Amino acid sequence: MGVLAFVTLAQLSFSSNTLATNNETELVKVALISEAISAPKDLGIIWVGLHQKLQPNWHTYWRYAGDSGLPTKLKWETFKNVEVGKIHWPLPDIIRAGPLVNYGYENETLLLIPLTVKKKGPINLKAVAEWLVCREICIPQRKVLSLNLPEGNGQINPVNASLFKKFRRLVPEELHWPSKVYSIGNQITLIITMNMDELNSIDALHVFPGIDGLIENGEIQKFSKNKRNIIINMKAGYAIEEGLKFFEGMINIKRSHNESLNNRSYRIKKLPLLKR
Amino acid sequence: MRFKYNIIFLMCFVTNLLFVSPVTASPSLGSPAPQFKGIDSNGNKVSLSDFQGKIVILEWTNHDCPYVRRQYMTGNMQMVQVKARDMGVVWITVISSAPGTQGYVNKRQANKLTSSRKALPSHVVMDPSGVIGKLYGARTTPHMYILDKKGILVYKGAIDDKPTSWGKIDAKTKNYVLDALTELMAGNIITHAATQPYGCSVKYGS
Repeated sequence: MGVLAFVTLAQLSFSSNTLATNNETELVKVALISEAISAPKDLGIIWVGLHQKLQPNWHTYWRYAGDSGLPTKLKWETFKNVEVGKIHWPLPDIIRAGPLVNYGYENETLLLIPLTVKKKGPINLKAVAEWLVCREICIPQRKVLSLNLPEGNGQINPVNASLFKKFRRLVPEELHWPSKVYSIGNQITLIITMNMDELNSIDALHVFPGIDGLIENGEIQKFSKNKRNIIINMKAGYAIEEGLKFFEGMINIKRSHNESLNNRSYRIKKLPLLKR
Repeated sequence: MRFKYNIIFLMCFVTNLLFVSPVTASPSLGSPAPQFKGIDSNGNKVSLSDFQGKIVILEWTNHDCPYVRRQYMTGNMQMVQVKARDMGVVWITVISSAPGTQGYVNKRQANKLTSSRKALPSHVVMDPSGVIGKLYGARTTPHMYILDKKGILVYKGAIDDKPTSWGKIDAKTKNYVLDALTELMAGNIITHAATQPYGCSVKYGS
């Protein structure tokens, strides 16, 4: 009965208006892929990824989806020889729908996942992926995925190497500059301290909140610089009013004159919201 | 040199300005909920001020959104509506889908949906311009609001704590709206007064 109810619901969800004529499974091609062609010879970390290839104008979501939408989820089976880590999310696109702002992926993404190999031998992975794919309308989808790596020497798979390289570069690193966040009135102000050269190299930046209601996603972020700091002013979201005490998110920095550092993102781990 | 970068910064603002017309920030808990007037699916004028002295629930909806479908197909939303009605609550369903977008319906279709889904709204307010939606910062379907008898906003957010469009709604699901309503009726503090709404985006025209 439970299964029957589920199937019915799924079908009804999928039969949503204009899409009835499309082959909906093709809106996004989803696969579990590995950076290595085989299991490694030595114990340690290897990387796999959930690859999503989307039809034009459709998108899936980042870990915080924004004003609507839902992040992609992976439910892993448990494995004896590997420990599955958390998703490392690459920089999302900012997707606007009328007045709403979402954070997600258009065209293609690779959600990177580290595996800690604890025991030698072949690696057989299985997971259920659930995601929401939207254009103007949204369609929830899910797929059972598996990935099998034979025993071997863990050589890089040449087919996947560039994909891993491209998206790993878009995953944020830890923010390594001193930073503070103030919550004053209806403003959230992030201050990051850098040296002059670093400051001057920055062309543009954008803050991605990691929590709902931290900032108003659709409002303009105002940046300025002084001798030592970048100052980003954002409009506070509802959660501040409800007593949220910390900031969490990511900042993306564009440095068009520095190719190796252009379009880098930095994870901002929990920072207390200061009242000054 | 600095000047040049400032120009780039400035350009970013301008580009942003062109694209951004944010939903008015959602109204604050503990403050009077924004007043609105609208037309319901029977062509009657509805004004929030008509319901002073009564608890009011606002429900943003789009019948084709999978998250809304799950609520109605499982009978969950109707169950909440029945309980709300029994508590004397005024239930206002708001449709803010712009013409030509998913969930947009005319009055006749709205009434048909109410009867076919055995829904129990007191009014279905037609908001194709999105004015009421933006006034409340409604961003998803469903997106729920509760106003107390004095018209003070006491709850805003999700219908429940299971942000999915899949499967049954089981006993482990926490229905935030029902919990808040029960606490409000008992004169207690609402435990979860602001939650993250989930679902499809409200299909505003602009």
